Amino acid sequence: MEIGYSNDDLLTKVLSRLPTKTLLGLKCVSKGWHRVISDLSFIRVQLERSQSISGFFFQESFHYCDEDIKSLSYLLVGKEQAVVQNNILDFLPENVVLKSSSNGLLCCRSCLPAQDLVIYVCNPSIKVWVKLNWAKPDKNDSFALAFSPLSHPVDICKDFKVVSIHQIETETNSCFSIEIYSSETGAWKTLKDAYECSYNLYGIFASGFLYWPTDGDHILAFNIEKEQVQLIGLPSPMVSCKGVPEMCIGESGGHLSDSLGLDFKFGSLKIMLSLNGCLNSL
Amino acid sequence: MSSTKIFLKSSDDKTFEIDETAARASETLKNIIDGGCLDGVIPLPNVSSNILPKVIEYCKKHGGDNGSSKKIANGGVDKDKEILPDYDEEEDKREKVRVDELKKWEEEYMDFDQQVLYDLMLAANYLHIKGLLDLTVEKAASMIRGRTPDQIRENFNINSDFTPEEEEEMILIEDEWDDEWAFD
Repeated sequence: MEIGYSNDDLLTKVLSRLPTKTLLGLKCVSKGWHRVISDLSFIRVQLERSQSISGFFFQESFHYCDEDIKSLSYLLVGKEQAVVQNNILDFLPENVVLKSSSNGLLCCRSCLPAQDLVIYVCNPSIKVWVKLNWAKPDKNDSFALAFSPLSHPVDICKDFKVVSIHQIETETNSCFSIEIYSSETGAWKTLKDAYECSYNLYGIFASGFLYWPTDGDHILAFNIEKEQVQLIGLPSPMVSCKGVPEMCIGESGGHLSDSLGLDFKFGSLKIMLSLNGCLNSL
Repeated sequence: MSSTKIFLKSSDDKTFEIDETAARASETLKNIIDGGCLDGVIPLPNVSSNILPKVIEYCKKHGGDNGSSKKIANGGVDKDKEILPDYDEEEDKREKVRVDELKKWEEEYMDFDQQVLYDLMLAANYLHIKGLLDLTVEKAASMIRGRTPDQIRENFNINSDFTPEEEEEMILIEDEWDDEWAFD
């Protein structure tokens, strides 16, 4: 069968029935196959088709200690048996602390103790990484990664942005400054204003916005495109009880889901959904 | 339904007869018929006389009933049925039997070698016969699943047109392709 050469259209139809992981290995079959599998519109369709969660990362951290916990586990979803992998980020040059993820990319920083604190952005499925310079390393900086390969209607956007929130403690209050790294320019840029807010946790990227829960009763929303900050009020403050945050936020199908108003005693679970920055309580 | 006969001419100048209702399984033929451009014989320069009878056999089975191939593809479940007010259990049973029978038919129909599969896929694509295209494409995909690149090359008669140097660089090429976004 001459499926290898003559008709890209048919080969595309056939290959689009196969899972993405299989396809990566099939690029070396021939130049024709390589061309079809590497075609941007093919990748796009493939990405849209496979928008499901492949797994979860876990990493523990000490609350009052400067050192980081090196081990990082990955729980594969969708297998009949739960599979936990502990070596998924071994391709990186050092142990890392996972800071953020977005559409298949991960943002991490070096584990403490380390000589140089470095930020890595990597793609674990193909084991490649890039190192970002970090002018004023601070282990308390919070990071969020924004990568939306399908945001452009005809092309695939290969650029990502890392947004870092840096805590500034003054005598009277604490505020933070925002820095943005763009892979397009390869440089960081500091937003002029500093924003008053309390401690922040883990950033989430959803539909063009980055979100951080804060210790107060707000979620900090950052519009990637317009580089604007917005505070969204929460119905109840997000306080930590014995170091366990009562609430965390997550992204699901491109939308922010703010969940886990978890009260183990009563087993109540509050879930709120956000659509383009507007919180709606469920 | 009228049983007007349509004549199809293969690339090697052989003429085949098909009922109009059957021919309508093909979007391409349907458009020619509806467009009124029918001038006795429809020439099909892309379909040979080896393949055309096979195509006609499929159309005969599915002609005048464009939905049936879709039902097969959906595992025999017709969701629209549930919202019909005069839903009939007997009718549903008959439908299931019919779908099962059709599946069996398709299994036997699809028993041929790879060259036929490829030609049939081309013909289904050219004639816009969605059900047949789905069937052939899925069969080809099933021949790729779980096989190594070497096995695939052998199976499909593909020569690796990479030079040995290129082949060595394949891993590098792959990495670059996958992550151009990050490594400009």
